[in-house]
Amino acid sequence: MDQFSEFRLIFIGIVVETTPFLVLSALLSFIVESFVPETFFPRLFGPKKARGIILAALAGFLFPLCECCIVPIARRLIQNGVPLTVAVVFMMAAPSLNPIVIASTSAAFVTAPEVIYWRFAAAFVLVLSTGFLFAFFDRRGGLSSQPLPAAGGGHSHHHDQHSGHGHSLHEKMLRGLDEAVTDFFRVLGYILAAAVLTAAVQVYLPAGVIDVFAGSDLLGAPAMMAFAAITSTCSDADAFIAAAMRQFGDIPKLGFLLLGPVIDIKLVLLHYALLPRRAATLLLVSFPVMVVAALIVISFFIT
Amino acid sequence: MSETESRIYESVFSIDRLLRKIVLFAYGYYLLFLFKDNSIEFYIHERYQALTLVSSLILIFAALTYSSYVEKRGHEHRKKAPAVRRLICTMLPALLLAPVICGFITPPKALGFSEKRMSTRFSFSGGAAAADPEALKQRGSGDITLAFPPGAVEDYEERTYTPLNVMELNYLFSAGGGAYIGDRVAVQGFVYRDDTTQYDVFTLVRYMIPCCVVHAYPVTVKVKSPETESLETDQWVVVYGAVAEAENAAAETAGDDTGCIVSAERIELKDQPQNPYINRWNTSKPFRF
Repeated sequence: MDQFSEFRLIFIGIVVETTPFLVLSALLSFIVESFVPETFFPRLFGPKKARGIILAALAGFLFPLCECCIVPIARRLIQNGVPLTVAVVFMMAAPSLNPIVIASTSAAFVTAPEVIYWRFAAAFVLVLSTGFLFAFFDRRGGLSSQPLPAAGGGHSHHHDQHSGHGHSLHEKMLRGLDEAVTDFFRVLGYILAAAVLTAAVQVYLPAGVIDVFAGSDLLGAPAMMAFAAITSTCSDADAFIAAAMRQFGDIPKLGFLLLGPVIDIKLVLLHYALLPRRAATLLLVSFPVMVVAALIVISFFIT
Repeated sequence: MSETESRIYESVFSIDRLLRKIVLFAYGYYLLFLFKDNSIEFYIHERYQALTLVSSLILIFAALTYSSYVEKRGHEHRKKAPAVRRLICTMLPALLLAPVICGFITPPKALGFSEKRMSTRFSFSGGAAAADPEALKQRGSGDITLAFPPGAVEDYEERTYTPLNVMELNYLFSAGGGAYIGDRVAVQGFVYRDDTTQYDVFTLVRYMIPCCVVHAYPVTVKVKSPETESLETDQWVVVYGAVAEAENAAAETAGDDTGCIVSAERIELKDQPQNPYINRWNTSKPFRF
């Protein structure tokens, strides 16, 4: 198969894989907009940030949502009054800790259970730590005071048209559909850009580049983290990819598994498009550092 | 502007919203088309297919329901962006059709041999589970149809073969291939001629798709056969043979550490199967993957 055909296959493959999750995300957006009272989520997570952070991290274990659809949902939560910090924690927790990820990791690492335990223990601690870091930086509203990036074209008019409460169910559903379609298109462009980039890297990056780093944990961990960022692997299946990377040890594989659900090319594009810029930057800068710190700690326990 | 004037709305046709309708419909129709065309298996694992099918219907429904008209207040007609900017903004949704158009005009091809992908080949090395001596007596999800049912004695040499796919065989080898020495298997894949193995050994490969084709990784078993030299890399074959212990593990199974090979009794050349990947649920014991 020539390289361009492979590029095309992978590009379309990413789109086919991702579209259902975008639809799922848009559907949730529609349901939230149409049927869930605006006070529901703020009440659920409570006024105290610490409680909200812990609840949002635990909620990650329950919702089988992957990282493709979670960013617009986090934005929707913020729009509905959930504190930015809590929404970001849920955005990280759901793709890192959800039941599908637990099942797939357990299947892929059946011969290396320590990777399974460390993945979820470390992910939970990382999610909580990031939440409290955000809470610290946001203690005077430094993050949440920044407005969410503007929505795509053709959207604001509709808000005018349907703003306010007390509309009929039909009107609410129409407004929900408009919001859902806007969400879908807001994300789709970034997904396509990331798909082109990912396919290009997969096909045209020379063979053996990654093998250079496979020899040691010191080089292997950053290499696998970079690999996670470049390939934008879905967290539901990333364990199989990590398990297949037999040249690498457990620590680099954990680096891949911990970083991938939160930071990769497509997610960074989405964070900057949908979340306040300062929050996106803080996540981009702090999370990889915290993953490296976690790997250093884990390396004392895994030989 | 007076309060009364701001409440006056009128429906205005929006080319932007019409394009959105078209894009939604095109994505929905394309996903449905992949099912109709049986080419969905070239892209994703079976577990995502139901969600994909439902999504396609939702997209089509949304396209039909989404209005091409937007209600605007009278004063909003006066706020017009420059023409070039309006044109670019309007045409952006059309660009989103690129993957759909690309998908329609070029039928999907299966991944073939790739040196880069071979470096990430998968193995259940280390022993996935205790070997089950009955495993080869059960029919796996081997996706080849033998001319004779397993268990029957209809082969021209009075032999029976258990059809397994490469993943299942790899599982058995890793779980303790020694338990199956001498058992006959039929396994399908494409040939990879590896310079690191000896002349009469080749690698039989299938790609496993854990979620989508971008993450496909090869699963392999080694096959020993005197016919090896006549086989080209990427040629699809069905190997009928017996599980054997590698006599010279370093030379015969380089890259694999199971110590087992398939000693071929005959090799049939085949066209690429309709589904070239391993991307289906396999729930039959002991092949849970």
